[in-house]
Amino acid sequence: MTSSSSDNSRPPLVALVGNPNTGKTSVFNALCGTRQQVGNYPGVTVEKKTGSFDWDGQTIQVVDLPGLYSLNPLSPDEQVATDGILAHAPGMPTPDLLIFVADSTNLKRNLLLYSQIADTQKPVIAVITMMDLLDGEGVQIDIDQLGHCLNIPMAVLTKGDAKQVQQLKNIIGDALDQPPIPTVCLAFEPAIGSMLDDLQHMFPQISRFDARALLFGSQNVRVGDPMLGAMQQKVQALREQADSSNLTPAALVTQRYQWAEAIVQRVEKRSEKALTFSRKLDRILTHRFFGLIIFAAVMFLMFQSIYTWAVPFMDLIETGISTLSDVVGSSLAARPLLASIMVDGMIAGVGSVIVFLPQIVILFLFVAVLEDSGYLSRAAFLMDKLLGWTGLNGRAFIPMLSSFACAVPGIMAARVMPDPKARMATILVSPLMSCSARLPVYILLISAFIEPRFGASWAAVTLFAMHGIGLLIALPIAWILNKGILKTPDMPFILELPVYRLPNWTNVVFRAYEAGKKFTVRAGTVIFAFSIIIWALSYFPRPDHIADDIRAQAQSQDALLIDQQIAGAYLEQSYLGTAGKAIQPIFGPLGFDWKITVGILGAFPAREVILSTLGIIYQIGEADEESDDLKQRMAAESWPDGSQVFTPLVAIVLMIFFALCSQCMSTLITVQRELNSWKWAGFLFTYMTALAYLLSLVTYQGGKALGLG
Amino acid sequence: MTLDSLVPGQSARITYLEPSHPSLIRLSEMGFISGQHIQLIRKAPLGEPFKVRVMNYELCIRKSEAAAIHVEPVSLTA
Repeated sequence: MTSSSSDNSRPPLVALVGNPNTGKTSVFNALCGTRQQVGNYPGVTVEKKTGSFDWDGQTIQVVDLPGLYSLNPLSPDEQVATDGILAHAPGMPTPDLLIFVADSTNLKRNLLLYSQIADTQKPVIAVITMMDLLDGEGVQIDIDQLGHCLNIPMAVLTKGDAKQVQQLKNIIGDALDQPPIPTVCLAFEPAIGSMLDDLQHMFPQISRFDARALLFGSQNVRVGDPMLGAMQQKVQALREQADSSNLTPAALVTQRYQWAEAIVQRVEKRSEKALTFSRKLDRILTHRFFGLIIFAAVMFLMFQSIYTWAVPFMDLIETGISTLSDVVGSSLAARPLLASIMVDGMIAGVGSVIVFLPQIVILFLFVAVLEDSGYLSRAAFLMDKLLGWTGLNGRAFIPMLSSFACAVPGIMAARVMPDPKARMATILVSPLMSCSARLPVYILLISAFIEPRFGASWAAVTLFAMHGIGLLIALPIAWILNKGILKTPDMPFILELPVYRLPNWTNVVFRAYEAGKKFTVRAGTVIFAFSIIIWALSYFPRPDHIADDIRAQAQSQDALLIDQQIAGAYLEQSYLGTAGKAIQPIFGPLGFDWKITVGILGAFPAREVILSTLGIIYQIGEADEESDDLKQRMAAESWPDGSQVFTPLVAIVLMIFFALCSQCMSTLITVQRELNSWKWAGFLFTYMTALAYLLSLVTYQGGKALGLG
Repeated sequence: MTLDSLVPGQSARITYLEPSHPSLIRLSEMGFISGQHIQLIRKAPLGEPFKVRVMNYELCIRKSEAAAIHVEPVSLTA
C-alpha cells in the first residue's frame, strides 16, 4: 500500500463521495460498523463522519463526505464535500482513493457528478447501490458493462449482504495497492485544460480548482476579492474564448449529460412500469388535502411524544437529581456554604438542563426517521410556501415546530437546512416558539388570576394565545433577519424527493445518541460554570446578623417558617436581590414590583426558575405551579398604596414577557455552539428581551388606558 | 411556454432554459437539459412549489425556477 499513499506514517484514507440519498451512509456503516465517530469540520457545522476497517492486516480509514450534486458547490455541505474531493478540506488529509457511490435507479444524474470527479484525475472506484429497487422500477443494469465503460473497478452493495461487503473491501484494498488507473475524462477537457494552464501560468498563486471556478464556475470564487485588474481582464478574455468554443458552464453540463446518456444507453434497459409503491404512496402524502392532514398528524405525534413519552424519563432524572441533592445536602449539613454551592448551584443548575435530555433524544429519533425515510423533503414541499415569503424555506418547519417542545433540540434540528444564513435565521427565531418550560409559568398565572375570575374557557383561550404569539411574531422577525440583517441570498429551492424507504436503524440510533452526547457534554461544562455564577449572585453577601435578627424577633416557634423567612431575607439582600430592587424602576412601567423583577433576573438560567425564586421571596418553601400557598401569597401581594400587585392585566403582561423573553441558559449556549458565535447568542438574548419588554409595556400601558387592570 | 404553465400531470419536452436565470447551472446539473422529457406531477397545497419528474427521478422546484424552463407539451392534458 505504498504506491498511492503519499504519506507512509498514516494509514491510507478513502473518501465516500456521491449524490445525496444514494445510500452512502449505508455503505459507510457496512464498511466500518461501529468503528465510527462524528465530529465537525473546522469552522462549519457540517458533520464529519469518519471510521475505519481492517483489510489484510492493515487499517484503512474512511471518511463519509457530505452528499453533493456537483463540484460547483451551493451549500456548506457541498463545499466541504468538494474541498474533500479536491484535497482543500481543512483538517483533513488528501484521500488516497475516492469511492463513488451511485444509486442504480438514477444512473444518469449520478454519472454527471462522476464525470466531474473523473476530470480531477483522482484515483476512484465505484459502488452501485439500490440494486434491489431496480425490479420495482422496471430497470435492468449491466454492471460489468458499466465498469468497462468507466474503466474503473466496480462493486455492488445490497443491504445485509456480507459477501458483497467483503468484495468491496477487497476492491478498495487492491485499488490502494496498485498504481492509480487514469480515469477517462471528457473530450472537452483538453481544451479547458489548456485555458486553465494559460491562467495559472500568468497567475501562479491561484489553484487549479480556483482557476476552473473562475472560468467555468457558477459562482464567485475566494481568490482575494476584489480581483486584480489584470487577472479580471485575463479571465474575461478566456471566458470569451470559452464562449466562442461553446464551452459555457451550461453547455459543459449538457455535454456531460450527452456523455452520460451514451453510457446509460449501453448499460441500462428501462421498461415503462406501472407506478411504483413509492410513487403511489407519494400521491397520498403530498396530496393537497390528505397530505396536509397526514403531515399535521405526523407533527402532532412528534410533538406529543416529546411532551409525553419523555415524561417518565424526565421524572426519573428529576428524582435522581433531588435524591442526589438530599444526599449531598445532608452529608454536608455542617458546611452550609459548600452544601449550597453543590446543591443550589451545581446540582440544581446542571440538573435543570440535563432534564431535557429525554426530549432531545426522542426528537432526534423522529428527525432521523423522517429524514432517512424520505418524508422530511415531502414535509418541506408541503410547507415551503408558508415560510417562503420570510426568506426561509420548507425545511425550517421541523426546527420551528420542535421548538414548541424545547428550543434546544429545535435549534440543533436546524442542521437540516443547507443554507447557512437561512439556518441562522431559523435558529434565531425558533426560541420564540412557546416551549414546554414556559408552561408552568402560564399555568401558575392563569390558574391564579385568569381562571378564578373569567372561567375555564378564557383560561384555555389565554393558554392558546400564549402559544400562538411566538409563532405570529417569529415569521415577521425571520423576514426582518433574512431581508434586512443577514441579507440571506434568495436560494433556489431545488429539492430532490427521494424514493421512500425504511430508515437505516443503525443510523437513526446513532444520530440520537450523538445529539444526546453533545448536549450532555455541554451541560457538564459551560452550563455548569453559569450555574455557579447565578448561584453566587443569589447567595452572597450573607451577613450573619440577618439570620440572627430574624431569629431574635421571631414570634412563632415554627422552625420551618423561620427558615423560610431567613431564606427570603437573604435573597432580598443578595447581589441578585439588590440588583432586582435597583432595576425595578425599569420594570415598573410594566406593572412589576421588585419581587417580580428579582424573579425575572433569577430566571435567567431557565424560565421555570421564577417559580422557585418567587417561592423563596414569598417565603413558602418549595413552590411549583400547583402550589396554592404561592397563589394565595401572590394574590395578597400589594403595592405600598394598598393596591393589588397581581391584577389579571399584570398576570397577562408577565406571561407575555415570559412568552417572548429568552430566559434560558441552555438555549443561549446551544445557539452559541451551533453558530460558533457568542455575538449571535448575545444578539438573540438582546432582541428577545427587548421584544418582550416592548410588547409587555404596550400591553400594560394600553390595558391601563382602557381601564383594565 | 414554460413549465409553470403546464397542468398537473401533463408531460412535456424541455426546449431550453432561460440563459440569465441565476440557478441555470444547478438546474442543468439536476437534469433540466434541453430535449429531456419532463412531467409536472403536482403543485403544493398553496400553489407552490411544484413536484416535477425529470430523468426518472422526482424533485421539487419553486415557480420562479419553473418559469425559467421552456417546454413544449407532448400531451395536451393530464
